[in-house]
Amino acid sequence: MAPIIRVGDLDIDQDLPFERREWVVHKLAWATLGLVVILGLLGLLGGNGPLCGRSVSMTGAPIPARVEYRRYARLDGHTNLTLRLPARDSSGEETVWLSRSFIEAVAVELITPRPREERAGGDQIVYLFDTEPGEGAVVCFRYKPRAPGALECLCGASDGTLRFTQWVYP
Amino acid sequence: MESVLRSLTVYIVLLLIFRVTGKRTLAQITTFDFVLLLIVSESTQQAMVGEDFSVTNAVLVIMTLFVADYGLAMLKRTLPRLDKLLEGCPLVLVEDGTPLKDRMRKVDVEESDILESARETQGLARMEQIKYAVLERTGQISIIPRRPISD
Repeated sequence: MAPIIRVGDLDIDQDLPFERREWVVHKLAWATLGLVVILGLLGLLGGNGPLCGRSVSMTGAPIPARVEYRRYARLDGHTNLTLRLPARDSSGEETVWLSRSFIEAVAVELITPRPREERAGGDQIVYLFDTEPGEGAVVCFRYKPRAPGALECLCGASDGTLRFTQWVYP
Repeated sequence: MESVLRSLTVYIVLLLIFRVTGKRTLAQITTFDFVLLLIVSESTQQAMVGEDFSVTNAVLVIMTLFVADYGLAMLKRTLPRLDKLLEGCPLVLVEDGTPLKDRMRKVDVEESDILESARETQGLARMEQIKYAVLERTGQISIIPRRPISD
């Protein structure tokens, strides 16, 4: 509490210099709150938004697969990792793998389509999918991050690989 | 541990938001403010309990909030500067019937708010009847009439 002063004939713990500083803080606070809302609308705080999603091609393959993911996710919030596999003259089988460290850092809730087989192979978890020969396929992993912070993912498909980082908000 | 940390985080965030958005934010709760308050409580509830809806977790969250509140009250009592920082100071808004408009604008108080408080608490009809109007730390406006009201 500020010292009691006399204003006119009123005893009061008014502190005008403190009050003036407080008004500046209030203005900054409202500006910060507005900024947070704008960041939320843009998707920079996770969820949806124009700046949240990212679509990149894998490297190392002649016809690379595309990977769609969200750069920002939230702890205990759902997020998707989508792999768009190119059409290949193959035997109707596609292999997709994810790094073990990524799988351990998330809770995979749903894989669409359901893989025919899952294999643990060294530092990778390998998923085998049945596909129509000569046609591309879309594979979607739905998961929840288990911990806040930077989430590293290394994934691969159709001879290509991609490493990306997702930021998980608490 | 997670529930305690979640509760403390929500407590601190709410404390900061209500503090920095001004004394008047929820001082007089209108119907819309009441709805807003319900939405805030619903949003914070999920952030605090996560996916654990057990009675144990609920008790832990409630006790954490009470302990945090009591601890902060103790701290404010021993550290007057912290008390001032968190609760602010009262501010005179009307002096001898003259509204101090610059201050009123800064704290987002209208003359009508002061007159409303004067009517409700002192039965006063005009600004000239107000000796002092003070925006208290709670966000309420207290009115001191020019003369004591006699029966």
